[in-house]
Amino acid sequence: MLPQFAETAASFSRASTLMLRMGTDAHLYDDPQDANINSLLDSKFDSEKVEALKRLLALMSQGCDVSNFFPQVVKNVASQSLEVKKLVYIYLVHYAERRPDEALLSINSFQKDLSDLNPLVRAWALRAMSGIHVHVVAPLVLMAVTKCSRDPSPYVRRCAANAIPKLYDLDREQNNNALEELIGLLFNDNSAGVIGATAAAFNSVCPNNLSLIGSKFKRLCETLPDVEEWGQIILIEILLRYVVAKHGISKISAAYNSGYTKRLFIERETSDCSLEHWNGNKGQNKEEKNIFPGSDTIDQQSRLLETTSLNSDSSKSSDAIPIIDLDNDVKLLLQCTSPLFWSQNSGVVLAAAGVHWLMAPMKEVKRIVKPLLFLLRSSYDSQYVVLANLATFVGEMPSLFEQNFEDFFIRSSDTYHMRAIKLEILSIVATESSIHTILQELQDYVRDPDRKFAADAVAAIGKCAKRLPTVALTCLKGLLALVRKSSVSLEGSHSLASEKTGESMKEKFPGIKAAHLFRADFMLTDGDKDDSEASVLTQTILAIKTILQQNPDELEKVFVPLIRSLDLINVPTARAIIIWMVGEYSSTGTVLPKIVPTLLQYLAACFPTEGLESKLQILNCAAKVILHCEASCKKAISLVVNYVLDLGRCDLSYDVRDRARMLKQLLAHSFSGVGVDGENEASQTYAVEQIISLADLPQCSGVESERSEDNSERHVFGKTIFQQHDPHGNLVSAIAKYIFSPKLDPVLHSTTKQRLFLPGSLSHIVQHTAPGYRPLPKPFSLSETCIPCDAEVCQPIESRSKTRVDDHDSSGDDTDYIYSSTDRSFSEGSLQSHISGSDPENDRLSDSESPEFETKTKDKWKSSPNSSNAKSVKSKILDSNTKMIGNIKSKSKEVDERHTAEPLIFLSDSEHGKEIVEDGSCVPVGSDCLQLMREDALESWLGPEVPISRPVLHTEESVPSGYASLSIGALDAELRKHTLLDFTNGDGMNVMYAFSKECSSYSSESVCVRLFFENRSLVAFTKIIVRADDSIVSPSEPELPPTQAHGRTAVSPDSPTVIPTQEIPFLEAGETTQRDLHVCFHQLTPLKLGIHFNNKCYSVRLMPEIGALLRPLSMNLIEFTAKESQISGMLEYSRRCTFRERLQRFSNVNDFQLQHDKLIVVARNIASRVLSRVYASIVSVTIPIFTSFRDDSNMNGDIEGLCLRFSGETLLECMPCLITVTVDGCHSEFKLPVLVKINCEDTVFGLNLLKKLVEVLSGS
Amino acid sequence: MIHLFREVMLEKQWMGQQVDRSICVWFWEQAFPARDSYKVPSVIASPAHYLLHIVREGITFLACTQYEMSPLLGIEFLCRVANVLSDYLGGLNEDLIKDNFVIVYQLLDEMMDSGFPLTTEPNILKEMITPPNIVSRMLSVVTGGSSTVNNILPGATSSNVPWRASDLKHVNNEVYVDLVEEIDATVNRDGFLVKCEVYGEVHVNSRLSGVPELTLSFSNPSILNDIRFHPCVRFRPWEAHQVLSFVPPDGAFKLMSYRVKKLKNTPIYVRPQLSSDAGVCQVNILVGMRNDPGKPIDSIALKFTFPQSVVSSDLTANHGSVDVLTHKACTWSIGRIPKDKAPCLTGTLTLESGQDCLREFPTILVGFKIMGVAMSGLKIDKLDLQNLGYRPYKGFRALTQAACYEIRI
Repeated sequence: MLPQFAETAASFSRASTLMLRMGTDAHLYDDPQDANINSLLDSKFDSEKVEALKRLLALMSQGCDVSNFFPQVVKNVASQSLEVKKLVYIYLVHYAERRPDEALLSINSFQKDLSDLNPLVRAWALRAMSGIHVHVVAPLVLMAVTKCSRDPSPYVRRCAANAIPKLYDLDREQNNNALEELIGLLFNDNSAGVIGATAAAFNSVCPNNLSLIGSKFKRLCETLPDVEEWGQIILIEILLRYVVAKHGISKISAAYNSGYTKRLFIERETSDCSLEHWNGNKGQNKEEKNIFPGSDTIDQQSRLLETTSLNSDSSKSSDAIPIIDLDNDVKLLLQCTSPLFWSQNSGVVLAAAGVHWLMAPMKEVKRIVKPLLFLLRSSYDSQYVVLANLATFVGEMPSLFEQNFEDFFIRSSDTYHMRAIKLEILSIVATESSIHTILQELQDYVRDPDRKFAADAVAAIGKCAKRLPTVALTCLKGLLALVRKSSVSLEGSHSLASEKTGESMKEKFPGIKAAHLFRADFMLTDGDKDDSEASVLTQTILAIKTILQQNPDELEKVFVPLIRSLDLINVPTARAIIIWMVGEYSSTGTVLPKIVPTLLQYLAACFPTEGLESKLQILNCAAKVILHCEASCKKAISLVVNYVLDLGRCDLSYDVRDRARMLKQLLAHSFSGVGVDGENEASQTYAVEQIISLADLPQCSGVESERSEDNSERHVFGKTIFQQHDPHGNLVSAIAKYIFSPKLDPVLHSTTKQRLFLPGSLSHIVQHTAPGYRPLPKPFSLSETCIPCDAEVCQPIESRSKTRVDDHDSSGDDTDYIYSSTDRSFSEGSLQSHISGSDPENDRLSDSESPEFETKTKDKWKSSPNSSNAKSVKSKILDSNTKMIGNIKSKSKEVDERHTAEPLIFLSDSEHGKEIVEDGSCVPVGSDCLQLMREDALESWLGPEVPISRPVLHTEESVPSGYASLSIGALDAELRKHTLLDFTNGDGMNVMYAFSKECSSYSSESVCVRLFFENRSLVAFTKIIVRADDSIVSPSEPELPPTQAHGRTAVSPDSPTVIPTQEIPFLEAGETTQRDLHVCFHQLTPLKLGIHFNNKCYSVRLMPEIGALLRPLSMNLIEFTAKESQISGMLEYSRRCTFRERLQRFSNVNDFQLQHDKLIVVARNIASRVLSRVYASIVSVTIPIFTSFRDDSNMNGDIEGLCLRFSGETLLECMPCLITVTVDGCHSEFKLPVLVKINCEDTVFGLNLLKKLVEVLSGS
Repeated sequence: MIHLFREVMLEKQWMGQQVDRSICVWFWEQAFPARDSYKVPSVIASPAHYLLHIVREGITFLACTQYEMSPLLGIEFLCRVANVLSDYLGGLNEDLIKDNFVIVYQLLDEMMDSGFPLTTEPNILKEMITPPNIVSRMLSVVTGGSSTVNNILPGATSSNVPWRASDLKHVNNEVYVDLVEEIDATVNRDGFLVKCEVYGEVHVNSRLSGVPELTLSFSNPSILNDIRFHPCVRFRPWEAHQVLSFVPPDGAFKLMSYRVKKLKNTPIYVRPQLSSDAGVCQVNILVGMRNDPGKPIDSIALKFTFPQSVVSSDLTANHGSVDVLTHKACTWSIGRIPKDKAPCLTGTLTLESGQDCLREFPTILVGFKIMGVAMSGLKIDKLDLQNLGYRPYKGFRALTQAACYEIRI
């Protein structure tokens, strides 16, 4: 009965699991390929499509590459079912990058979805569209994002904000300005969710463009609590950067006062610049460097401090640190971040704490303590990161946390890494009042099963004792007990152990043999566990050593017991440290010198069985002992030392042998009692070198730190001795004495490295600069002029200063700036205000000039704005401007003289009603220079009211205020011929074709293709005709144009229509002839043609040339710009490329003339290159006239900004197509970066044309 | 940024640069030499990427990034993903995730966009993607397919209270408030109470129609040391009057968490005695009630792991059952403390040869549960509801359990 029941139960449970899995997608995951995915995808039922897509997803998640289904999947993107859509999107985004061409097929469907009524559909379409990582669609995505960022649904706007980083990632340089504009727009959004996402976009696109935040700072702060948590984390960081850049780190903040700045300050005040202080500051400087960029920050800050201290000196000399009230911005930020301490998200709390730590005044920084500590309890997973950050805070300000030491007590669930950090924190926060509790706790840790942790705990005890000398004695006692215990336990792990403690050294001698045996045994059977146990012991002894070095008074009390237990300690490293101590303190105190001889004997006896480290230390110890011992026992000791040295010389290890040999050499005099007069110089040199190398010898870990510290000193010492060497003096013994003299108190290094990065960053956790890590901006780097809300900025130049990005090298920029301003802006008021506007920047950033000088000049300018100073500047500027004009003028004159007809430069003023005059009627500069020379004309020409064409253009230099339009004369681009039929394939008939520029006489939609027939055979050809290679058209009815035309409209409107050529009745051998073929291309696929002659048919393919599908459309510049603005946005595509080749060829010609109008040659080159492939008409060739000329020589070569405009319309639908080619930047002589822009309503056509143009221009 | 669950479970890439799966192999190599992956810190740097991970119920959630980011953002997001998934699937294990992989994908897709969290509010997610339940599954079996994707954008995405759907209707309007407290205590080797604190959470389960305004006040808010709030709590009223004012999300959520530090007493005591001699260790552990909380203490259990040097054990208890597992973990389940006798665990541990006495001492973890009592003494004063046309049912409960209650031997 019972087994039966069990069976039913089992089957029942099986059934229940089946039930549970029923209806889920489990079967799809388990066996994704058991159905024909292809046929499912093509099914007309949504449910089957869903199943297929799920199967694909399962394969994807199992790591299979299913990109070969791409075409079928993409087809389904137009599905109405949202579920299908969603699954397709997931698939598409995953694989689009690998199949860019097919991904393009989905674009149309996205575009349709973008105008769907359902916001969810819009959002999805946008997300998927921006997710496909295909370069070509970048402009389309930009348009979509722009459109969606104005969407009524906040969700869609949020997705738009999220898409910005993706777009930026796709196209790093291209759309930056547009993206930044978008970010600015989205920051103004009234939905908090959008702002969060925008903050993320800001961080990835333009993290340093903090001036963007300026006007919105207040609003952003106020919405901060409403932003969702992820956005909060990022937004807090941005706001912090902004505040630091604008106001610097507040002087009364915790970080400021704990950090180096305060120390620096005090130093200046007391003018006490001791070396130690300097060294102390070095470390801090390093930290500062990582938080702030560049070392010059420190200089700036110090200079700033100097100035402030100067000020305070003058006002009230007694007060050291000027208390500056927090800026309102800072207050606001602090106020808005403080409620976030209650956030559920640990990231938000930490970010808010970081702000307070940097900015809050000392009194208020306490607020960060509790929330941070609460994080340790409330979010388990983030504990490690929080602890790492806490360690930094604690390291800077232990006093903040000393009340809460209990929170750093270790729990059994903590991982090793967390424990290590906690121990470090504990040893730092310990105070007189808490140390006893902490020590008790540390003692508990020593008994923990995790021995590595126990060793760390011991080290922490040592650190505590070092920090708080009052507890050193307690620690020592505890440690000694521990030594006894752990050495016993270590010994206990070896069955041979039978020694007992408390016996005197002499009594031990008989037992030495046994001890040696198991020591050797220990070396062999060194297990993992014992290893960690040994590390506990080593750490204990190391801690004792550290404490002893600090309190030499305790030496004897502690040391004697330690030596007594020496025999029990079997760990070579630990023994080495004790032996080192024996040598070090052999002559101190009263008891020690007495036991040392015995001890040395014991060590000598142990020598052969010691480990390497101990052996080396015994040798050193012996040398020290003999140098410092009293004369009475010298003889006995020298015997032992000699014995040890001899043993060492026969050792297996060459390190030991070397050491022994060298010591023998060095100590020779100590044995004999006579100096080494007889030694020659060479041997002395050798000795000194040996000594120096001795210092470099690898030491055992415990002693290493001291060694390395002494190293440099020793080098110096050795050299000085050698330099002033005294042939009869006891050089070697002096050296020996020096080497083995007592060491300085070492600095105990902290076990974990100081974390030098901004708290809360990834770099901080991994302790190296992660890619993309940005230190805080330079304090005060954001100049006041950048913030439009600042009322002090004067009105006339405000619009300009808005567009200016803060430039760090302000001095050079300012002069440029003055040049670019007009006479009007030179009126006293604006000049003054301009200077006062940039004043803080100058004060803070000027590297070369002292602040006093700065203020002096400023004062002068302020007090006498009409003084000669200002005037001279003004006249200078005018001078330079006239010079520039003169240059252009003379140049154009030269040009005039050379080619009277052809190239003319026309200057036109865009301000004056945009009168772009056409070639003929334009007034050449040369003829009317007087008018231009008139001052007011010049002013208006360079006037500030000129609407800046693109406000997003930030660099002041490139704001053009006028244009010169060039005439480059007629260009006759030759037709490019392509082979249609090669004579080798065509039995001697060679057919070439070219797209002629003539309009087709048959229909306006057709292109005229000129065919060049050449008979290369020896026989004549007859009845040559070329027509569409269509199987429907039978050869019996060769030409029926009307029916075909009819067929085009009725049957297949998509296939290109061909009007066959007129028949060539007869073509003799060697003869050539031409015929025109009229083709109407409906799409850009190759056209199949048949060439019929001699009753044979050769089928060929005619590749359409996209440029030929345009018809020139003449318009003037005004029409052009009007049209351009109509066809903007979504229908504007641009790409960047490099214009090469012909320029290169050209620049080889070292001709004076040619060099002079390089500009024109380049323009011609570009134009002919474009026109040879694209049948458009040229609208204008313009070059902006820069308001700030650089030097004269540059003027000739500078073709930056050269802009060629072409226009045309498509043959088929007569849609206008505008092409703009702009040279932007001139980096080298041979490569010109050009930006090609196309405005065309036909997306596909436009993109293809763009591709073609880029190909053409880049010469590939 | 990618996410990977276990070695081959799921993978989702968000950013342009695709991350190869081989990174997982690297991760497992790092994680596994150290017996379990807890040994690896939650943030590590691999040669090419930075890896963040959390472990939930044996499933590792791994995220990786190449660039600087806030590590806590990553970790918190992973936690959120884990929470949402377990909420959706009714638990977290390999099979559940595999069975519902499509939903997991849809969720992940909704939760993050281009490496930045998008919709993480569980309530909204539930409206967007229907959680799997028996009914829908049966339906899908019968009809041959139903969509889990909702085709209407939840209104909450655009509202100012993103955690609450706008038009909710419940037949029974009810709201429950639970105080769930966890006691953390550490008793050191000398038997002193080193640390004792209570970590508490206020769980609210609200099923209210419309958009209710709730106000929760405590009679003794001053005892709270640290607090954290659900985003729905308004900061101002708390700052001014220490009153929680909020519009609740629908369903169960954690309203706030708090900590009360420096408690003086624990409800039970544990007195371990270990004396070892000649390779044998005598164990004697006594458990008793220290001060009566007024309600019975349930499911008392002691857990500890023997040190490495222990070879075998022989332990018996006068009450409850003792289990010793193969990896030397010992559990003593007591249940309730009987009135007549004090539970006692006695026995011997045999040490490995060569060991005279025990050097490493384990830590005993104590677990218990007290229904109906909040050990911190926190008391809810009242719960007010505004702008509602109905009188909902209000319920309060309290529960205390031991979380990190350690006795060091």
